[in-house]
Amino acid sequence: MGDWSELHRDILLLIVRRINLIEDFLNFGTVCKSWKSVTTRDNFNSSLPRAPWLMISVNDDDDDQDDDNPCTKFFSLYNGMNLKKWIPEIYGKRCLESMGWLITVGIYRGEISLLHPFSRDEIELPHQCITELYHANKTSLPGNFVQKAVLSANPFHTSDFVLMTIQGEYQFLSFWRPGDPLWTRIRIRNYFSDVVYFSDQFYAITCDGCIQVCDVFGSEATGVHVLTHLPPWIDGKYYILESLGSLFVVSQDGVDIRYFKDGWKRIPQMHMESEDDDDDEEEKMYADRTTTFLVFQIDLATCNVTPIRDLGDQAFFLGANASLSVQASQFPGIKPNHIYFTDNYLDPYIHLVEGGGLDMGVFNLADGSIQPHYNGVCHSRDCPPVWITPTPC
Amino acid sequence: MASTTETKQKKMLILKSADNDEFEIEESVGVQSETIKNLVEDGFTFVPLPNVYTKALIKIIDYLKKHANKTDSNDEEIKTFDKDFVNTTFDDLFELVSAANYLHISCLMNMLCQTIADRIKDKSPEAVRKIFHINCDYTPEEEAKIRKANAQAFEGQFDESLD
Repeated sequence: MGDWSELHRDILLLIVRRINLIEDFLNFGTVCKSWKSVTTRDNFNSSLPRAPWLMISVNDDDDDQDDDNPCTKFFSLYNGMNLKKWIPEIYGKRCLESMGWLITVGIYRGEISLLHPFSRDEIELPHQCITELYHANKTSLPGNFVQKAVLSANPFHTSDFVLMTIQGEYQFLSFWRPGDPLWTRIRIRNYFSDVVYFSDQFYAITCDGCIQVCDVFGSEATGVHVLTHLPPWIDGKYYILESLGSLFVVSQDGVDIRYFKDGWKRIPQMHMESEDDDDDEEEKMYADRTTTFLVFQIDLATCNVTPIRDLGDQAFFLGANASLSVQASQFPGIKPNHIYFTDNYLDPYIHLVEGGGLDMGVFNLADGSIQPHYNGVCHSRDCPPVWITPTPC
Repeated sequence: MASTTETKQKKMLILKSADNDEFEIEESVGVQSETIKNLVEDGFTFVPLPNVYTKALIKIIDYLKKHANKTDSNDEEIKTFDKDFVNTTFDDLFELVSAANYLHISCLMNMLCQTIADRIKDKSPEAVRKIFHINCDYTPEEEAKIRKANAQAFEGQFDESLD
């Protein structure tokens, strides 16, 4: 009978590099000392498929009301696993996720950092107040200044990475590389809705449906060129993402819930008291609910935009900062041909006492229905629930 | 399965297990193992394998024979064979993975390591220790510290079964 603690280190390495779930990876290291020695962050194989967890912000969950010791909760849709972690660095900050890192923005002071939530490694980024034309471009709440942030590579593995963001009221693309004292703004266009890193390039979509490719790696001045446009009749909020080696665009359309007062299971919400209380009632309604999604595939060779009605085995994850695709058959709890979404409307955070986070669910492309994917309330003043793909420290 | 039409004499090798059993196999079958291939290139036809026991060696020879006869048409057959091959106890997997590692048979290593990774999916550290006969060498304090450092106050249920 073999004693597996004496298994050759090479074999342990081959096994550990095939473990895709973070909880299994961490349990592996808890077994014994020799197994622990191989569970380093470099051996967490980043090329394996992983499904994101839902990160629910500090103090948002009813049973976690502990102001002195606020916890962040992570919830796995595919096996119902929960994990709670005390991450004081994200208290009072809006968090966006990329490659297991959080891009945190202080709600009121507006400071920006790159934080690994498990190792708590932190990289300070240039403050928003020293970005170009800040006075004109700043958002009414400093925490909303960064609307999207995407890493080109994991900062644990290389210092040669680019952090691309969409910044400010005018939604400029701006990027940062390690060592840069300032953000570099790409000034050719603005009003970007989403950006994705795909096959060594950044692809972005503007709020009016123009799809562009952006080269920040060349020695020449940063170049952006237009690839194609969405048909003009497609309304809503746009996402751009990679799935199975192809580029996809998704539009998310919603309604203001004032028209649906009795149709939704309402959670009472209160408007913030503002100085200009004379505004008519119409101006005061901000809570949106998603009603539908449309999916398009972008052919990079021909620049054709093709509507897609079936995602096959794929499931998309969209929301505040997320635009991901996962192969559902590899994760039993995840449904194929569905879009999992989290609240991505910023207005409630500014205008409602309870904040935002409620517009969340899973959309079935086959019949257009929306079901909940999380049985809990994710109200937050600070940070919306976000999709996060945990990586070990 | 000696072929009567075969005229050319096949080169043969003798493998000797750790419990001194000898097995004769075709050289073309044996050289799928890097370790054997290197010895053959150095002119050996008798290969002692002091780290591989008979039980594992029989299974591995079976595997090598099957994979030496890989053609375009028997893909499904080999898949079924592989599936049956890894459908065994953890103790057998331990012997096989150690032997395959010693023999440097990379495709077999990949398959065995993937099987092991899949089979410890969702298992608690306690269950994994029992399955692999591992004595935890952490003190309770150390273990508590690691679990805390992982900060994974997991609330879900891990699988405690031992199969």
